[in-house]
Amino acid sequence: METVANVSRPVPKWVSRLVDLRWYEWVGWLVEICLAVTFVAVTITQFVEDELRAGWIMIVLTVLFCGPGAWLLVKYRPSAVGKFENQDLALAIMFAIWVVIFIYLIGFMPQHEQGPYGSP
Amino acid sequence: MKDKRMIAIVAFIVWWGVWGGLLTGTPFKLGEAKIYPSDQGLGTVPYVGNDIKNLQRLSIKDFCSFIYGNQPSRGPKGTTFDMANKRKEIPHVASIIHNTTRFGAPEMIEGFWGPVNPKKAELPDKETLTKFVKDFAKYFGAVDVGIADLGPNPEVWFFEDDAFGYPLQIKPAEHRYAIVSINEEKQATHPYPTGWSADSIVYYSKVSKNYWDDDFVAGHIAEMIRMLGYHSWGHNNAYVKSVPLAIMAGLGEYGRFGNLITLKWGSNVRINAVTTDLPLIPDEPISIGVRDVCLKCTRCVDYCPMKAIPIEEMDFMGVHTWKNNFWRCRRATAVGIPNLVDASTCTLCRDVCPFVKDTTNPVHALGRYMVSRSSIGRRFVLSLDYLLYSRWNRHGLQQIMTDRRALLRQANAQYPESNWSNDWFTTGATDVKGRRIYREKNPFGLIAVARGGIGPFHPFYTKEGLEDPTFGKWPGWQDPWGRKIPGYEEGKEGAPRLNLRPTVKMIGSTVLSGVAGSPMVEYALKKMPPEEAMKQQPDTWCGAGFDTACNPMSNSYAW
Repeated sequence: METVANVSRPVPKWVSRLVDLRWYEWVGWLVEICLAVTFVAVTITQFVEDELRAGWIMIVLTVLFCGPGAWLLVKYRPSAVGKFENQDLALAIMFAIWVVIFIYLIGFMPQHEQGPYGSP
Repeated sequence: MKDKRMIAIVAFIVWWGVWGGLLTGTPFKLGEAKIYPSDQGLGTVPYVGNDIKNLQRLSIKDFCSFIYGNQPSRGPKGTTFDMANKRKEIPHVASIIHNTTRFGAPEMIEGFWGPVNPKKAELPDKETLTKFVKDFAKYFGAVDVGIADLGPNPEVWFFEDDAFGYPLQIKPAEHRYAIVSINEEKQATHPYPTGWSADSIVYYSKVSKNYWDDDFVAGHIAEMIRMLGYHSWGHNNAYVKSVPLAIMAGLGEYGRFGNLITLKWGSNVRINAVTTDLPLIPDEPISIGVRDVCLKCTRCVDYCPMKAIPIEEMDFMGVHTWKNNFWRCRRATAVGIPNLVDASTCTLCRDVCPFVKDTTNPVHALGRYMVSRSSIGRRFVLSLDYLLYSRWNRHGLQQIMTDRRALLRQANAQYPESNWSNDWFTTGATDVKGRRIYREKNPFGLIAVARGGIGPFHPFYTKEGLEDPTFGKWPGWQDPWGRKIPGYEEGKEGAPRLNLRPTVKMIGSTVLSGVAGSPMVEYALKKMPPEEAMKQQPDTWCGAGFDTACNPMSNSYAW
């Protein structure tokens, strides 16, 4: 009688994909997960602290900061041929978004609401 | 361009790796001690760093740039802070100020001074002793503790006079070190509530508890050291320059609005100190990025209802620093507001300070880490903080500021600003250095000074006016719940006797029962409406003579 153990079953697709990941993909996913965890934690914090407006801002920021990385890791599969494709354009836009965001966040002086007697 | 995917992903990794490193300072700060360069001094605070040789002993009035520490507790005549008058005619006002606003409880500070054990104990090595003292402070409830070196001339750290303008009768010449500890002041009810409300009761319970905690810690440390056979005095924010001492002890940095700013608790801390000749290892000032943040951030300036906080640094006693306009600040806190609750403290600068965030949240811990380690991180976090937290109506600030402006307008009409420093104390004389002498003409106080100074003979604790108050016409008064005071009739001369000096000793459980166990607090926490609270019969009472604090039918709120 045939035993179940002897039957070689097909490896699930997601397992083979996981195994096939290259080293840079592993590191990339690690970075992406760290990034997402940080941003999601900040977002949750805003809602926990009843800062609803800040929470919505953080949702937008989370998408802007973490989305491109996930897209890069999942969808970006350029052909080996060195011709410029649409997804390369998307990649350039992705980095451009980050550059702009970082310049905004790091470069600007706080432009906040004025106090009760106007800004000094 | 063999593998564009690999290049793109590596670029992604490098991009975030570089930013992560820059924002947290990780590659640059590993192993680096966060200590100010010894040749540089702090720059922002007088009397520290290499300015120590230029130290001079000051009047408390010269030093009151610090809002929380070291402020005179007197207001012009006729205001809610005019304690010498008010404590006779309105004992409950005196009681609130006496017990919650200024000194904590008198019984707690009994441990501040006392006889020294004539037989000196054999001490362990300095490291062990210092660790023991710090553990001791933390065991008694301090959240952080450090040792400040007072230098060869420790007297300069003590004020010449107390908050009333009387000369201090202490000779701190041999006190080489200060054990500075801080207690966390919880943020739960900030910003402080306007008017009598459940929130205001919670708030004042909290403030009082912090003073009690301070005195509890300092009193015990001082007692312990004297039992070891060494000299020590405990201080809350009365007799030493507590903020610079805390900076010297490495607990935090000087903030724009004049407070100590710690990394974890912001300025939500209360400072106490024990000066001693016990041989200890002093700590050094730390750099946690506060100055960088304060240079860019002006939120406290914008929210200050009195515009008392400077936007530019200035030269103050030879040091380039931020210096508040103390009189303006004091005006908002002491006089500006006829409502008693508002009269005590403002704290808006502290409430809006970006360093004040939930201490238990790891997200804010990450932010603090970035701020303390990297200048880019500081900029990033501050920008993000403005983006997320800086809003006019945050935590109901808009309503509070609206209320306050109305009250201030009222007060401005009543008390013109020009006469302030003259009104504050009754004499306009100057001393040999040409400084104004602020001293009141209080016969009881002068007698107390003549009798020799501190402890039970200290003017603040003189029994005159406290135990046998000569009541004037009893003012109309309702408690926070709108109830009449029992025994009070409109227009009646005299008033029901109040126990303003509860006789409890330093017992932690009593402190807690006085604060958290009070039925009034319980009602407040339940958000019980006044009409309902009036009908309640309290089922918890604390003993030990603390009836004024715990009895909801009493008109005293000396938590």
